[in-house]
Formats: sequence, C-alpha cells, structure tokens
Amino acid sequence: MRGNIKSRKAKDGALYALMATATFFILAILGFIIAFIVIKGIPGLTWEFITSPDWHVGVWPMLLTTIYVVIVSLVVALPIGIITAVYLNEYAKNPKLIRALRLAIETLAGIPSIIFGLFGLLVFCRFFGFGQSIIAGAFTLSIMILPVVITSTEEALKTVPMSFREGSLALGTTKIQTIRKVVLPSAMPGIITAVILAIGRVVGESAPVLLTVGIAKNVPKSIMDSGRTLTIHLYYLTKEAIDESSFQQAFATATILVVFVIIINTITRTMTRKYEQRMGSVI
Amino acid sequence: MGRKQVIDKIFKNFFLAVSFASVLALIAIIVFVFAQGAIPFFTWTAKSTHLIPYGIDEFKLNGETVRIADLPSNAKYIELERQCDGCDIEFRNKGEAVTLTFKIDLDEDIVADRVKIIETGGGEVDYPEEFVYEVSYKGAIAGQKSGFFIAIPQGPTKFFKEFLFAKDWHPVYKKQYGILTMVIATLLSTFGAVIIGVPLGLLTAVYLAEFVPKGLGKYVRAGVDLLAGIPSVVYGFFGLMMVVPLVKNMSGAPAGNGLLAAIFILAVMMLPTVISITETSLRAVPRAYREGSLALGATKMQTSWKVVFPAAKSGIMASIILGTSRAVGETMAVIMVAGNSPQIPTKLSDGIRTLTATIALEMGYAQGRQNHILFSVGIVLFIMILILNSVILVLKKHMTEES
Amino acid sequence: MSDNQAKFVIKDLDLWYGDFQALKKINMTVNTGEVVACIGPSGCGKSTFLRNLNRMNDLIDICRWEGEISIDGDDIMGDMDVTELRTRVGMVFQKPNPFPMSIFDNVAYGPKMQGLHDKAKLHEIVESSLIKAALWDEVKDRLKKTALGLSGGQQQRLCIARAIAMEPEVILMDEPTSALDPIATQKIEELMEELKKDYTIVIVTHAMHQAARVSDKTAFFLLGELIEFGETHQIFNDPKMKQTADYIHGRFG
Repeated sequence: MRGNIKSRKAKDGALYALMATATFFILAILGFIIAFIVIKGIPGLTWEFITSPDWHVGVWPMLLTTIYVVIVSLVVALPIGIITAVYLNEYAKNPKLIRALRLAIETLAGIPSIIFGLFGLLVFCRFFGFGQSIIAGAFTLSIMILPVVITSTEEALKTVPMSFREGSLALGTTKIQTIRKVVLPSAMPGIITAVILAIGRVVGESAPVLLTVGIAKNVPKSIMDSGRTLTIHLYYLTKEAIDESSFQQAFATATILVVFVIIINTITRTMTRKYEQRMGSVI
Repeated sequence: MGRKQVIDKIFKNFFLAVSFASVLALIAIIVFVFAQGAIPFFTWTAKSTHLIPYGIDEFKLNGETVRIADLPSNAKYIELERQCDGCDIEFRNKGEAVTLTFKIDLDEDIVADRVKIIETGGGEVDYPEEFVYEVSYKGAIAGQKSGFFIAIPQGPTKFFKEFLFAKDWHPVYKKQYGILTMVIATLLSTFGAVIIGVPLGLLTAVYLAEFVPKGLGKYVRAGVDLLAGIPSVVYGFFGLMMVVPLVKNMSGAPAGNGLLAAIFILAVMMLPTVISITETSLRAVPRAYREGSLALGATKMQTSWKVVFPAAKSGIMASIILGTSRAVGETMAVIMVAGNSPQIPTKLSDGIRTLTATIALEMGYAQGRQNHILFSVGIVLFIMILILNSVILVLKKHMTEES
Repeated sequence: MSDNQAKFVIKDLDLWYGDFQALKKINMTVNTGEVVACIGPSGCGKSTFLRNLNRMNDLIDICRWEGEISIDGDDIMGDMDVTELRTRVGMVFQKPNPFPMSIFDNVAYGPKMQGLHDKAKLHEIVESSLIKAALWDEVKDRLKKTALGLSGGQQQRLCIARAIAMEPEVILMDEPTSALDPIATQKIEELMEELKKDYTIVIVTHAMHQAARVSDKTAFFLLGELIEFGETHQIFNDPKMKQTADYIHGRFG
C-alpha cells in the first residue's frame, strides 16, 4: 500500500506554507499595530504631555486616575483572590464545593466587561451612593480581576512542591504557619506575576470604567471623585477630536498604553521563566 | 485541641468564607442586573398620568384651584386619575383664559389613545413625543413659554414584540425599544470575526504546536501574548485610524465605519484566545496517537491534521467558543469602528450598532425606562454568554471522559 | 513465501541518546518470513533497536545513530522516503494506541493517508484486515462506533489490523502484550501464529515463553550489545554465551 509520495509532499508543502503564512500574517498585524501607533505617538510624548495637570495639554490627570483605580482595585481584589486560591489549593477537599467555587470563578471570568459596568453602576454608583467615582470603578474592576488573581495564584501554589509542605508540617508547625512561612513565600514570584497581570487588566479595561468612573478630566482630589482613565481618555480624544492636535494626543496616549502592555508582558514572561527554572531545579 | 489547632481552624473557616466572595459576586451580578432589566417588562413607567406645569403659578383642575406654591417643595407634577371622561384645566395668563378638556383611560391598549384631548381653547397643543402632550400658551415670549406637559405612562414593554424582535430603537422621543437590529449586528459581527479569526488562529496554533522551529516559537508565542494584552480601546483606535479609512477607500462608501471594520478588529482580538487554547490542547494529545499515525506511513502533516487535530477537538471547540464570547462581549473597540447606527446592515460597509455598544453609548444620559431597558439589553447579552459558557462546560465534561 | 532471503540487514549500528550510547555495533540479518524475537533485561536497548528499523527514533531530538540498515537491499536512510519505509514496515506498540475515531476509520486511516478514497476498496481492505487480525466477528456490527470503547486486547488487535491494512512486508511488535491480561495475551499470541505465515515479524518481548513459542530466531541484548543471535531452539536450549544462559535461566533480570 503505497501512495504517490510526490503528490503528498506537494500537499504537505502547500499546507505548511499556508500555516506559516497565517502565523506571519498575524505577527505582521501585531507589528503593524504597534509600529503605526508608536511611530505616530512618540513625537507627542513629551515631558509636558505626561506631567501637565492641564488636560488640554497632557494626560497627568488621567495617569493619576488610572493609578488610583489600579491601587484601590488591587487592595480589594488581592486579599480576596489570594485567600480564595489558598483555600482552593491547600484546604478545600469537598469536591462539590470545589466544583461550585470553580464554576463561579469561571463564569465570572466569562462575563463581558460591560455587564460588570452595569452592575457597578447599579450597586456601587447608585445603591451605595458613590456616584461615578474612582472608588465605584475600582470596586467594580476588583470583582472583574478576581478570576485572574485566583487562577494565576493557584498556578503558582501548584508549583510549590509537596515536599516543602511536608517538610514544614513534619517540624510540628500548623497548617496556617506552613502556608504563611513556606508555601506563600515560595509561590511569591508567581503571585507577583498574578498581580502584574491584574494591573494589566485594570489599566486596559474601558467599558466598565466608562460607566462607573466617568469622564471627568480634572485631577481627582480623592478616590470619591469621578475621573477619566487613560483608555477612556483615548476614546474621548477620538470621539471629540476637533483638530490635528487631538489626534496627536490620542496617538501619544495610545503609545503610553502600548508601551505599558509591552513592559507588563516582558516582566511576566521573564518572571515566569525564571520561576520555572528555579522550581525545576528544586524538583 | 490545643490553641494552635483552634487558630488553624479559625483560619480555615475564615478562608472558606472569603472564598465565597466570588460566588456571592456572581450571584449579586445576576440578581441585580436581571432585577433591574426585568422592570420594563412588568411595570408601568408611572402609576398615573402626570401633569407637569411650567411657567404657571396657579390653575384650575376640574374646577379646583391648584397653587404651585402650595405644592410640596419637591413635587414637580400633579398626578391625574387613571380614568376620567372629561378632565379640564383652566388657567389665565396675561388675562387670557386657556382651557383644555381631555379624556384619560389608561386601560387602552394603544398608547396614543390613553389620553385624548377633546377640546382646547386659547392654547396650542404639541406632541413633542409620543408619550407626552405639551400644551403651551399662545403668545408667550420665546424661551419663557408657559403651559403643561401631560406625561402619559407607558405600560409593560412586550418582551418579544416590542423588545427582542422589534426593529425600531427610538428610546428618547418615541419610547421605542426594539433591539433586533443590535442583536443582528452582534451576531453578524461575531460570525464574521469567527469566519476570519478561527481559520487563521487554528492554522497558527497547529504551526506553533507541531511545526514551528524551536527558536522561533518563543517569539511567536510572545507576540500572541502581546496581542492578548493590548487594550480594546487601542484596537479601536487603530481600527479607526487605519482600518476605517481603508474600508472607506475600498468600498467607496461615504464612511468606513461599519460591519467590515468591526469584523476585522474583532477577528484580530479573538486570535490570541483561539491560538493559545488550541495550542495547549494540541500539546495535550498523547504521543501514542502521533506515533501510531507516523508508524503507518502517514506524513507529519497528515498526522497533525488527521489524528492530533481531531483528538484535540473538544479543546479546540472550547477555544473557538471562548473567542466567540470575547467578540460578543467586546464593547469599546466596536464602538470606535462600527458607526453605531441601529440598522440591519445590507452591505459590509454599512454601519452597525451592537448590543454592548448601545449600553455604553446611552448609559450616560438614559432616564427612566430607557435606563432600565439598557439593563435588559445587558440580560440579553448575559444570556448569550451563558449559553456559550454552558457549551464549554459540556465540552469539558467530554474532555475529561475522553482522557 | 520465499525463505532465506535477507529482508533487513543491519550493519554496525551504533546509537546514542545525547552522550549515552544505547546500542553498540549491532549486526543482524532478518530473513524474509522469519519471526525474530528480541529479548533482554529492561534498558538493554532492544526497543530502541526495534524503533530504529522504521526510524521511529527520528522523533527523538537527542537520538543519533550511525551504521547501515537496509530493507531488501535499499538503504533506509537513502533515497527512500521515511513514510515509504513505514508503509513497508508496520508497527504495533506496547500500549494499544487506537486513534479516537471509529473502528472503521482506524483501519482505513493508513490507506486513506496514501490517497485511497474509493469507498468500496476501503471497505474491502478494512474487512480483510480485521478478519486477518481475528477481530472481524467481534466488531463487524459496530464498525462506526469509537475504537476507544473496545477492550484492551481488542484494541491491540485493532492496531494489528491497522498495520496489516497497509500490506506491510514486515511487522514490528514492541512488547505487544505487556499491557494486556493473560486471556488477551493468549489471543494475540494465537494471532501471531497466524501472522507469521504471511509476514516477516520482529518482536520485542519480556516474556521468555512468548519468545520461545512464536519465534524462529532469538536475539539477546544486554547493555546495548547484541550478545547472541541464533535459532530460537538453540538459544533456549544451548546458548553459546554465558550471559545468555544466565538470563534465560533467570539468574538476572
């Protein structure tokens, strides 16, 4: 049973070419997006643009708003997320309970961000009376990033070898001591990766932020104020563009976001690789 | 039990309690959004017809004098009865008498017939909105008009006839809340994105999992990760600055914002999801399948597509569905490139408005029923996603059964 | 079958995994129509040797070999395409590895990959292969059902049918019964008795009695070296080398 080797090789070659083309097409799109934005954005990315509190000229108020939103949402989401991951990975035994928790987390991860926006608007802005404010937005986003924090922390906890826990427990420590002194510190690089991923999510998010944080352009005085994050600023710059300078600003703002994403990706990549190498040598 | 064990136990229970935050959040989201979104389908916008005077100090309603100054400070309107055969209003302004007689029957099915003006004297009647009569005083100085608004309450919106399968979306003036155009827009743009994004993603994933030279794979994967990390507004911005003009030039349409631009951007945005999950599931296919196929004289390419690929099909389906969910739920990128006109597109270059776009665009100023209806739109979106999610759950079950 | 014609000629085969030399200067000739059993303790290189005959070792990045292997006088590294070699040399693995598709599709897979799409012809091949693999009666009513629903022994016979469907000249068997229960093992051994009439077979086995029962010749491997190769009868009754005798009499294992 032997077919025509030549025709098979030709078919395989064509398919290979198709696959390679698809791959490089995708990479080309990515490269093009980044180059297009960064090349046009760099000229506008002056010191004044970044630090001027005047929203006509720069993005300082938006940077501040973004930073506030990131901090507050992390303060809420990190403890809850890490504790949930610890519970799931170290304590939970009842399979039904585990399944229920995981189902909730997965469903939460799949909900479109705009729905989180609706929820945040309803509950935090209206029901709790925060109005459109940084705090309302941060609470909303903290729910949104919970799944990211939980799953990546769990990944980190899973890489901690069982022998570490056994070694510690064998010395007569309690479970909570083992977790605090042995498990969490060993998983720390992984947890930091989770934090960075969460920061990336918050900074890049837009739809729920629009509904809950609002669009106020001035420097926020407190987290109870409304504000405008970088992403929403970019959206409004293009929406309300009046002249060339608006687009110049939009390109510069987009460049900040793109560069930020590249930095975040690089950090998480290197951290994951280093961490895997270290853990690999332990196991 | 020693002190240490007690502390251990306390921590354990505390952790358990905290773990339920996700469950609680999920339940709260479902309950609140559904409760709010259900309101339009079960309630009237107001219990009765409202009479809202403006620029008037005093008038007579059915012969009784109403003084605005005597009303409670926060009441801006007077509630009328649900049914009355001949209500009349009289008031004077600059000496001239204005009278108005009308009939109210809120049990009428047709909204326009619920309140009927029978007779007017000395005033002008306007219908600025289908649900509001405006009676204004003739000869009033521009900008200082005086008169009444008669706001007619709207009954429960019929879910299928007036919402899901209705085409007209005129939330402010005509109070029409048909979302059919948006459902179709969401389905079309998602479908288009799947048609483009899935084949591209799958080809790339198989290349990455099976063929890519080692040194290169690292960079491709980094690129795919980066694609996943780019914020949606940046995609939208790129689309607006690059894709929209391109579509405009190619199609000759007056504007490039529309279905095609949305499809392109959504296709790119779903790629990382499709690629990374497909690659993972391809890698999870047991080596024995590959060896079995190769030992039968199949080429590596045949092995990859005829054995490994089908063996990973549950995971691949899951990747496609997750990518689809991403396209369905995407908001800002679509708003920026899609044109946002609520219509059923006939060409690829036609403007569309998705469900998500409607929520984000109108939430800022929506009042009353419109505000509630936007939550109803959220429910429709939510149900779409839940359906997709449950398909994934079924697939996951399949996967565990297979292995 | 024309006997005593060299099918496989292996000359000075050296093989390394990275720095580790797994096979040392192996020389062997497998004649057409013979059944050759390779025995030896775990890690002696017998499976590696077998997997080199249809170049399955190509899949392992760190694996590298020198020497000469020819089938019917054709160098397997020469002009011959590796897929051609594998159509001529079928293989059955240690663990049954049917594809996650229907029984029919499993058997039809190989011919289809060679470009055969004629339905009637495929049916014919599937039926005759399953009959030869003594599986036809058990599965003829559920050809469209998934192969993963079969028992382990049935799966292994399906894998044999799958190999037969390619009309190979040689069938390599890598401990084909080690993952099976005794009854399934017995069935496979009976099947081997049948197959040896039509095919040249090289089998790696842990079970000494299996080698003794089914093979014409036996090769004893130890630490990557071919210690002794000869008539099965002679190897088991009158081994020339001391290590062979020790192994056969269970003095190490």
